[in-house]
Amino acid sequence: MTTPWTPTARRELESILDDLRPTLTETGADPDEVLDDLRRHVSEEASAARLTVVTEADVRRLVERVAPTPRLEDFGRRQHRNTLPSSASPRTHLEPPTTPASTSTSPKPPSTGKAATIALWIFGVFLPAVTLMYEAVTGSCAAELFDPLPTTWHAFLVATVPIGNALVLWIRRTHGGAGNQDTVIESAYQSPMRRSATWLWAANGTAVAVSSFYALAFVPAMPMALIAVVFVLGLFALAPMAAWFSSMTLRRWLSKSMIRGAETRRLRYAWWAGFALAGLGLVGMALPTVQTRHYSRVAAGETVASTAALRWLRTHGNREQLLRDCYGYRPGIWYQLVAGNTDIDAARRLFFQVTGQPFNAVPAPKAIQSRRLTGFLANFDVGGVEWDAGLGGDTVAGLVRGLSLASSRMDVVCDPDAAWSYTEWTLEFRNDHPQQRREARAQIQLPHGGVVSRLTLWVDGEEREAAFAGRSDTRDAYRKVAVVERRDPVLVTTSGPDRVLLQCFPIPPGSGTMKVRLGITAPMALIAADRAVLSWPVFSERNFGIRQTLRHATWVESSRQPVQPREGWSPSPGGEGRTALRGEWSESQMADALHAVVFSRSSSVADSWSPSRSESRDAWVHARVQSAPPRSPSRLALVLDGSGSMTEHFPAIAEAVASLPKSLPITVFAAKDGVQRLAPEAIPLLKGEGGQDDVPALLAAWEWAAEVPGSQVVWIHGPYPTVIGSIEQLRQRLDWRTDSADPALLDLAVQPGPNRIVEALDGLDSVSVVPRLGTLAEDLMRLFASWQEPTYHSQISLEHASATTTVPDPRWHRTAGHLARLWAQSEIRRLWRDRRRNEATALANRYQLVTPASGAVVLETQAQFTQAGLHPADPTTVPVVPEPGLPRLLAIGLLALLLFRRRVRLVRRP
Amino acid sequence: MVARVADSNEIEPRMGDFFDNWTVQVRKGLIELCVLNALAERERYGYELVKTLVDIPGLGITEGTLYPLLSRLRLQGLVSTRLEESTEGPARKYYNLTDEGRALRSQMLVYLDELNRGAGILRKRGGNA
Repeated sequence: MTTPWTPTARRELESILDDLRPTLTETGADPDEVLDDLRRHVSEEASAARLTVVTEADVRRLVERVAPTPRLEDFGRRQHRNTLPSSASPRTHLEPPTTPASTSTSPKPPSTGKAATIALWIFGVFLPAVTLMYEAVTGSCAAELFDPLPTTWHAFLVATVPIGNALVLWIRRTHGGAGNQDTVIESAYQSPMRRSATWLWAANGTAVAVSSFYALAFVPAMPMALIAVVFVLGLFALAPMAAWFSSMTLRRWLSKSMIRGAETRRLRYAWWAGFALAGLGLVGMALPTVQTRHYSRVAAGETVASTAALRWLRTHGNREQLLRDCYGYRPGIWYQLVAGNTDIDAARRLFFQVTGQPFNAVPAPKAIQSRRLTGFLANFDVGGVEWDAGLGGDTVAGLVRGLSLASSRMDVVCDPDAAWSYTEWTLEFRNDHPQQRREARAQIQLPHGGVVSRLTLWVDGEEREAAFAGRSDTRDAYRKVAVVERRDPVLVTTSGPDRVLLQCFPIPPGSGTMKVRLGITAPMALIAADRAVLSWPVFSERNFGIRQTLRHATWVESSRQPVQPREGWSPSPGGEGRTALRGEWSESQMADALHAVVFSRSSSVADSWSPSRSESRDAWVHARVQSAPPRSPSRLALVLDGSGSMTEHFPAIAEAVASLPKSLPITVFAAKDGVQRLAPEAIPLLKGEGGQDDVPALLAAWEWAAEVPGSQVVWIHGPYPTVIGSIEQLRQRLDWRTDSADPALLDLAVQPGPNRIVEALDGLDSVSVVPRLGTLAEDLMRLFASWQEPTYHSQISLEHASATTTVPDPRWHRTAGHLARLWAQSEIRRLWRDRRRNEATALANRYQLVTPASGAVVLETQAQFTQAGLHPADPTTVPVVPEPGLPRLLAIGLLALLLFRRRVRLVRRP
Repeated sequence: MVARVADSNEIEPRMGDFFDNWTVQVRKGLIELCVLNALAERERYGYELVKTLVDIPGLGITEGTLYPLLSRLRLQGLVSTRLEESTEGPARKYYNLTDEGRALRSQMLVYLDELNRGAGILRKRGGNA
């Protein structure tokens, strides 16, 4: 009676027989006939064993005894010797090994000598392992060619190469005996090692897949690597190829030493499983990068598909990859050969369009941060690039590694009656990089209408004041001293309305520091006849990190009382009957307009004055607080930035807009991958996405507003770090605005940050900034209220003695020289707009102000000043905190003059 | 012969290798003759033939080796086959010697006898080990 078979048993037998067919062909027998005989034989064996049913396991067991070997000559003599019993019956002595039969008749494994084994250990195990560790620690390849280990998973997969190769070599040694390593791992194939054998094959498959991938990636670098072998480093570039050869050699070795029959298929499956898994892993990890690159290229084009590509990137794009492109990290040798290098400017623009954030406002790429120089990274929470491509330039550029803000101190004195404030911001930068000198760069957003009136650098513990001169003169001097001579300068220039760029170099490596002080004179905003608001400078862009634990130590002294200062301020005794407030704020708190302080002021003080620095001794600066009548626009074009950072602000905007009179025609122009014209009621439904190009919406809004004289365009937006399209059309419209009836542009930023559009529109009368004094809704309502109610402002003018007036009115409030500086600033801007550049520069120099016409630079030595044709400010003429009264001013001035002359003598001394 | 083989465990390893290779060569020449002898006695089916030959001490043949050999012999016309249904399992394949096979077997036996005789003379002259 025939024993029944399970279907899997049948399939297993057929699979095994299929594997045997090639071997049978070599024997000269008829394969079909032999296979048929074997089927019959196995069935006979099954019947003889009286099995009730033949299972897959039974088939394997039976086939082990039956599976043929090609030639009798292939009886391995050593196998015979190894399996020959030492004492047994004569019959047993004569038997060749039979357990398992297949093992005894396996072909002899390929012979590999000791030298080859050593080579496999070196090139298949040690070299890949050392290369992996070297790259993980130093990131050398990432810096020079491309990043082979962008994620931890990549490192894990690469580690499987030396591990897989070592495993095969180790088992070969262990199971082959010390004397002859050719003794295959046949014993590993035997029970109970069969499972190990499966893993062994899988590991080899993985190693082959990973090493193939990296070998291919490094093929273009081979010529360079061969040359660099003499410097050892080339060996690392050759490691993938060496590992691939080793893995393939071990695979051949495994294949030839493989047992026959049922094991063949299983082990081959295991190998392919390892290969496929590793391959899929690599492809899976590379896929987001490849897709992101593809869509990045499409998005950069001017086609219809670019918008779709941009949407895809916002949803699925690899943000880390986009960020790396912003820092110029190489995408890969093959990619560079095919597509060329990445355009960094385009990458930064795209990063903003996709994420809605400036690239330098987020931590540098993670993969870079997690590697290299871990010692100082413990003190540094931002990361950054190794090579600072923005050194000496006029942009902030990306975060640089090792640079941070070590301390920040802000001393403020204000006179609410005269509506001015003076802030001295002392910043100390620290460079923890072990080798590189660093330049600290920051764009600083000044209080609305503010101007830099003092710049100080500490050199060897001594304060050095800046020279104020023409913008190009100061920049040239800075570049020469900083970039060429590598000495200690600091430079401040304007960077758009209410913005300056601070840069200082070199901050020495190894925890070196550099300390600078920025003096800022600014008007206080008048929100009522008896209320003046104090606000302060904030960073809008920076190339250094700020630790989360750092606090800006702030001290405010005023002649008037604060009105309900917010929580966090501590009152302190001030000098000369003044009121002082003290607070320590984190960077995010400082950037929040909510921390502005409202001071009371005497509504009876309408006039203030201070001496001027005019050539004429009988001139003074007069400020008069006066109210302006409301002037409601005939139309309001509200341009809303549709970037992702705006989403949370739309409800507040809707709330403020709802307070406007219903009679005012309002149209909302939302920038959302184009321009959407909406009714104001639709504002709460808006949802921001990525980073948007607001220029088309501004143009459309201007066109609509220009249809009716006296219209207003209000642009509410988030950070705008890059110009996506051209803004010349917009500038042209605003530039040619001669009639005050043409629409003006009011700029309102929801948070501090770069604004390239306003920078480009600097100097235009028709563009003004809405100061941030409170919440967005409060500031918007204040703006809208100013169209319906009288507003207060301080009108500052220069007056001269005349036939009717020879001295300032004694009833006027006499105040410090900051009033004169504020007048000078507005005068300089007027001269600048009228293209009277030389006059503007001369006035800026006389009042020691940083304006579009002028800059401030501190050089290390007097010789450098002389060589650059610059003159440092007289210490007696720079503002100080607190601004002293006249007698004390004279005393301080005399002392400072003595110190200054002494220092000049010391500097000039050879 | 059995006693001689048993002594192989006592000889030097290098010499043991030599002996192993020598036995392989001897067996290689004898397997075909053993098959022909087994079939000369009577017709046998495959499974029976395999079991018969596997039980011969020192021949070192396995089931996996025998079937290709039988196929080669059939292709060379030395054996013939026929199928016969069986009540105990699959149809049995019976092997029988052809005339050519019988003739060849006779030649091989004569040759082997002569070879043994000649080797025996030399063995007597050399004495028993």
